Amino acid sequence: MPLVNYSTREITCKIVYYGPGRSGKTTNLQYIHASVPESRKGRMVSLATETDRTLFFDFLPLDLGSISGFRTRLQLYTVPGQVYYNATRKLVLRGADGVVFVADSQPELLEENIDSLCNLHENLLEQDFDLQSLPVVIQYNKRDLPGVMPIDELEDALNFRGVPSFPAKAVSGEGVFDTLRAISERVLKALSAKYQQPLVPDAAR
Amino acid sequence: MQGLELDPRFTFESFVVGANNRLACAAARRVAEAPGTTYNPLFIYSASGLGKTHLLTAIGHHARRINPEIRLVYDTLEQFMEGVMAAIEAGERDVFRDRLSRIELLLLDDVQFLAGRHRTQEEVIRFWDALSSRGGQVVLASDRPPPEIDGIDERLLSRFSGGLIVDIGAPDYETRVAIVRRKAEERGQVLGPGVPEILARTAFANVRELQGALNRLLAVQELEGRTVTAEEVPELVSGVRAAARTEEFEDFLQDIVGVLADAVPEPEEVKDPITEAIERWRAEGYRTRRLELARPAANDPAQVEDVLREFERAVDRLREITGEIMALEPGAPELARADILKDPDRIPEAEELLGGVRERSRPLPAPPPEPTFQTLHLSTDLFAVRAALAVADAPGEKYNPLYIHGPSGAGKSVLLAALGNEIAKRYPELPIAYLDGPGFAAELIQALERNRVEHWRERFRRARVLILDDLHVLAGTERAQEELFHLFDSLQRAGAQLVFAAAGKPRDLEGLQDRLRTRLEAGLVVELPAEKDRDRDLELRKISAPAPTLRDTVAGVSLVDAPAVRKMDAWFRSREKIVWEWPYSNEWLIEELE
Repeated sequence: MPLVNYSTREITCKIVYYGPGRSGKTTNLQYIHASVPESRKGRMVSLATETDRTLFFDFLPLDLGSISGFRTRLQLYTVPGQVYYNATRKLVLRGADGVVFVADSQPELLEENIDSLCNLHENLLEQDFDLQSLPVVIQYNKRDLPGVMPIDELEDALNFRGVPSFPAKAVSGEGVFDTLRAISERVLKALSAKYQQPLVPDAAR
Repeated sequence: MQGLELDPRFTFESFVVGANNRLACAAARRVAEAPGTTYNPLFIYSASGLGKTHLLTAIGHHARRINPEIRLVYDTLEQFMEGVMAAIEAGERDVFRDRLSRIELLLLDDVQFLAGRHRTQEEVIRFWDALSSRGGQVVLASDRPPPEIDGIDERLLSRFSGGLIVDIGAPDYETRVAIVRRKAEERGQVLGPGVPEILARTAFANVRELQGALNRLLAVQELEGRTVTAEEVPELVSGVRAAARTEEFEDFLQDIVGVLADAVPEPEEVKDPITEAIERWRAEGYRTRRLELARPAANDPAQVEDVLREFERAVDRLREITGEIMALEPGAPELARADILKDPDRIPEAEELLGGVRERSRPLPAPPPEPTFQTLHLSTDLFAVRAALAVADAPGEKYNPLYIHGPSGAGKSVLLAALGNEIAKRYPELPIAYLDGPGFAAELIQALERNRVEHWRERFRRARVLILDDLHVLAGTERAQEELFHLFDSLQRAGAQLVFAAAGKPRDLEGLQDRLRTRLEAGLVVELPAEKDRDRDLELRKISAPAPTLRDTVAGVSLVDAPAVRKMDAWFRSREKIVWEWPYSNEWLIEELE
């Protein structure tokens, strides 16, 4: 649940980039990190192995400044894609307000995409997430590589829930912000649906 | 001393002048036209890619055009100093310096690299002095103003300041459009409609990047032999837009702001729970200081909830207190103390108020249910009994105070209790306080202990009948007598009936304060004799028959036989007293006739 602190007037949203190993989750964050003015971003924390695979997670805090009187912050996390890091994935997923599933568009990686998506669903169910209301978007990354699967085939294979999806070339940044925009908007809208009611704790009501 | 070749593209003609660089450009022209005469040195600084080098080179070109013989050196500081150092190492320092000093126009780029290099700075100062003594012009370009060059020598600073320091800002939109157009023209190309504008609107870090994007666009036009349309511009320049990503983020931010503005109600409408609570409680008249103090500190929801819950508990208690006061005494003056009863920070005081009201509204000590006049085995022939009966008939109207004295065991207490019960039965609306001396003292002590004397007084002042047995016990006490005195006065003013019983007559009670005694004596003092002495009382009654009228009594005691009067003299101190304390009860009935 987004953390809305009315006394300090802060909104903090946690967005998790999920997907199979090497699908470009960290690249997404790196591109965002490079695009954000110094004043708006915190230090990007990245725990990677020597071979540059994300070991634990990446964390990028973004300060969107004051919106409607609320200091709004996005916290972007990536999970390690490798299958054997599921405990870490669960940990990172905890308390997520939205999930970006970064799929690799290469046909030979379709299986891994599906496995990772199933893993996401399992982990969400395990943590009692409401799959119907949790904002999720899909990014079909690596569109710049030759021989990638057509979008509609990927949609058929991965997007059975019909969530918003975006083609992307995370290396050049294409589609990165479209994805971030879509997930952020959904998360914030979900937040408002939750808080549209009078913001009074039960005890005071 | 060679220096660098001047880039032929960088001339004043190709330099687009805008508000951002007008001063720098004018100063540069002036220097080129008359080196060493006006702004010496000329120090130009700007962020990179905004035209420092262009301007520096343009000065060289222009000066050479005016005076082809001019001895001119254009170099970066780095390379220039390398030359200096090389000459020094080769032992040609003086030759080098001599040659340097003949330079008429020295154009040095990137002088920010002087930072922290004291030796280099030292050399610069030396040959500078040599050069300027001969009227040589120095133009310097840097990416920051002189004072911001780290570790710059004060002497250099003062030399820089002696000339002119100008900066070049980022070009505005119009200038950018002009730059794009000029560059395209230079390349002999025509841009499609709207293309310069779109390019100029795209955010680039500096002019160099803008030019890079334009180059890419022009390359497409040249290679594909077509004119690029405005729609294609964003796609084409995206590769050059690394630095323009910030704008991507800003766009994203704009959209998010829009979403959130729709999503989150206006700040005026949305309040944090504490602010909400403050307004709600205020509307109900409660003081909210505690919440206001807690507001800035409480930032996690659990903390906020704690603060609110605690506050509500306090308010609940205040409500209970107020409710109880209201129930105990609907018109209690305490109810007007909103400053306390509506302030959760003053619960102890509110409790105090309640305590007071409780004390005040405690039921008055009542007479024991037995005996009553009906069950009393005292002869109604006894004067004291008849006086008591008369009091019961109309409390507060006669024999007030009624003072009954007699030896212990005479039945004073039962008479008083019966009187109390009788009044209670006949005048249930009259609050009766029935207690004895020790009880009175104990009550007072208790009130003193609880610091509630005020309320205790108020409680007793509500009484309309005060029956106090064993008054003699209070003789000798100070505080109890004082309280009794005040109570006495207060009740009497209110028309309450006062009945006392004691072991002896007021004047015989040792330690009884005069002010009390006189007041007691001013009422009816009557004896309840011991069993064995009752005959005397009855005898007195016999003597009195036939009953004289009150007037007769006042007019002449002669109506009564002498021995009896003598006896009475021993009882009463004055004629006036005789009227009030006349022992013949049948005669007192006369009063009713009046």
